[in-house]
Amino acid sequence: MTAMIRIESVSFTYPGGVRALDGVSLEVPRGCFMSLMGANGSGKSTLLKHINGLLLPEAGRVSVAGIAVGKDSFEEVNRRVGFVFQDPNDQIFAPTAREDIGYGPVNLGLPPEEVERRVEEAAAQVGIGELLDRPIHHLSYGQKKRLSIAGVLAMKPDCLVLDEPTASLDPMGEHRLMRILHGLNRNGMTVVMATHDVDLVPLYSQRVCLLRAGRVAVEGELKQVFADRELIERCRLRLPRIASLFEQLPGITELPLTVGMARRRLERLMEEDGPLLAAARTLLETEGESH
Amino acid sequence: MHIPEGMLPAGQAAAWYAPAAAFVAGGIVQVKRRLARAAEYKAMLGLMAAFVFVVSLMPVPVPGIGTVSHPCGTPLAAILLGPFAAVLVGAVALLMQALFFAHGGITTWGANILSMAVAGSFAGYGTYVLARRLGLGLGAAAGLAGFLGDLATYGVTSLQLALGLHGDQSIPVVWATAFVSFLPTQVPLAIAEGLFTAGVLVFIARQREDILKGVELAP
Amino acid sequence: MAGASRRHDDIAWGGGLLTRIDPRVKIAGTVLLLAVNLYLSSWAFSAALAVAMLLLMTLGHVPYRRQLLAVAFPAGFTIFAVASQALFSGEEVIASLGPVAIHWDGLLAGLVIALRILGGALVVVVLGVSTPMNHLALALRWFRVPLLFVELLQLTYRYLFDIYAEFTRMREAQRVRLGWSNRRAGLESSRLLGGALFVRVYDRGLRAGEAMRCRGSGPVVAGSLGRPGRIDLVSVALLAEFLLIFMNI
Repeated sequence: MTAMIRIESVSFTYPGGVRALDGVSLEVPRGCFMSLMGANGSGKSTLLKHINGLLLPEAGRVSVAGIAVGKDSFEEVNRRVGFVFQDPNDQIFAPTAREDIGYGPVNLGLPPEEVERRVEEAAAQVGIGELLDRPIHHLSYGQKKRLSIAGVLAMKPDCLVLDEPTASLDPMGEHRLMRILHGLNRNGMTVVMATHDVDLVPLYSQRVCLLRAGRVAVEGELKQVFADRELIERCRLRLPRIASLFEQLPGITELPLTVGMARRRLERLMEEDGPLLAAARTLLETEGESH
Repeated sequence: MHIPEGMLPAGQAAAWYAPAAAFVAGGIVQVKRRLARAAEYKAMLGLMAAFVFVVSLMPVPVPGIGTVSHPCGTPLAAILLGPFAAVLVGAVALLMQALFFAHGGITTWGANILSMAVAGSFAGYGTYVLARRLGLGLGAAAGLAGFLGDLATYGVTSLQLALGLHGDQSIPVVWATAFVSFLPTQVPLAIAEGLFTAGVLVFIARQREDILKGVELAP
Repeated sequence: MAGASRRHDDIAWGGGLLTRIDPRVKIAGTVLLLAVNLYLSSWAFSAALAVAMLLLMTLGHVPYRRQLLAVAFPAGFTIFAVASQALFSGEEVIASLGPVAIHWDGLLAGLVIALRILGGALVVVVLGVSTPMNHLALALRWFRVPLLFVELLQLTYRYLFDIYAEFTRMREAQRVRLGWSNRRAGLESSRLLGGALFVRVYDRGLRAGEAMRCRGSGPVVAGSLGRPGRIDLVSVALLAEFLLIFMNI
């Protein structure tokens, strides 16, 4: 697989003197779903802004789909990278959803029919087709979030970059959003998202990159990264709840990270009839006798 | 057109303070009357002053020539807040710009209040009200207000500069020279201000009619 | 530009030597120096003022780039002042082209104005980098500046950074959808940005007003200035000394 995004030893210091990135190198393969994780202030957002050139590195290089990110390539890069801001209110400024989704395609210089087609298509992709002519302030936060994604999808990017996409969403909204991203990814879209929601990440990510104080602490496949509990806690994160539960049970190695993985593990345990289940069974039986 | 600190001679700098102070006092009286009914209006004014400040930092492409300019924002503020409150807001923004970037000055504060806050607000507001009475649409009236408000600011600033720097020449000649020689750059800037003012107002009217009903904002 | 202001302002909050001088002393000193600067209108005084202010900022660890940046804004006007005096004033012609003539004595008069701007602007910069807004507000109240005006100054300062951050995020969001890639898109984007920002500021104004009402709508300028200390006496003495020496040269 070729790299969609290539970040080579990038460093960045904010004007106030805060060193936000310190020699970060990272590669995101084409078609990958990667989660960028880390505590508040670890440099996630700063790194994301380097992918589409909102920030330019003070040292190092970034390229997207083979194009070097720089001052002159800003437009070209942003046609390929769909950047979704954390707060949809920052991104939505037109009076209606239709006009807002059309903003990018119009700026691409597309003819009106094509703009219209793209608007309809992007709205359908995120399930807000029936809301197109509503004023923005009649939309819920979750709907605005999906609208902000439609706004970048209408530009037909090769990859999506999202900053904390699930922040402030209710559980259903979160679920719905992640289904959308997952669906896009299955159709070939490269997705990079910054998050610190450890319970959600394992469900969808293929790869995880942990940032700590502006450096990459570890990068790799999901299971591999979550195997090192100590490192995760040093990054001010934690294991998924379901993994913590299993960690407290005796005799378990290689913790399950999602509910699905946990269920399969339990089923296997039951078949194996291990010491754990034997104990549980004894407990249940004594309980039954006493009644 | 912020006249920097030290540019105007002592007597003139002091003289500009008097009318500026009168208008600012007028603003304070008007706003206080409103505050007596609703004390929380001052939070709104503080936010509006911050808005005017930020807008004056926004690069707006100038039609015709290949540069960007920064709108004054005072005609817009005057339409939305009323001219006296806009003067007060403008005076606050000007003092902060002087302290933060040496953009403008302390002894020239009076002169700058007069050209930007007073002339910009009243010319803008007057034009807007008149144009609306004459039956012009919201966008056209606001555009004209932005355009003339900007030119009025420019006219006053160039008068102040002419008075301060005319040397041995007669004042009207220097004023006319300064005014006309900068006109080719000022007219496009005024057009940009007009387009910006109209655009923002039409936007607000379409998205949030309640704001423009005016009762909450204009005194 | 607001980035500059933030750092400018950060220096004031840094609590350096200059910050510790009583703001009343700084305001009175600023007004006095600026008045003398205009009144004398002499190249020697203005030049001495500029040098003194640069020294003061160096002592106060104000970065040189910050000092220069603040002088950069008046540059256009300074050039205009020199040119206009050379053209409109004086008798001794050094060069002429048809009706337009450059005068030697006018040029000198223009340079005096240029120095006046330089010295005066630097005094204002010193006040700016050394006085946090809350100190300034309290001192202005002490000088009997109307409460409403000082309150507005405080409130504006409080919201300025939030609104600027919001403005920046929205503009970035427009840029990544190519809203500033050409002039026409830029004009359209500035309209959208101004409108959307206004609506947001307005709504926040309503919320802030409600919150204020819930807590009693009192004045937003509170606190008191400490008693002047030794550093203030030294400052006043230095100021007097400076005026005594340089007002008479």
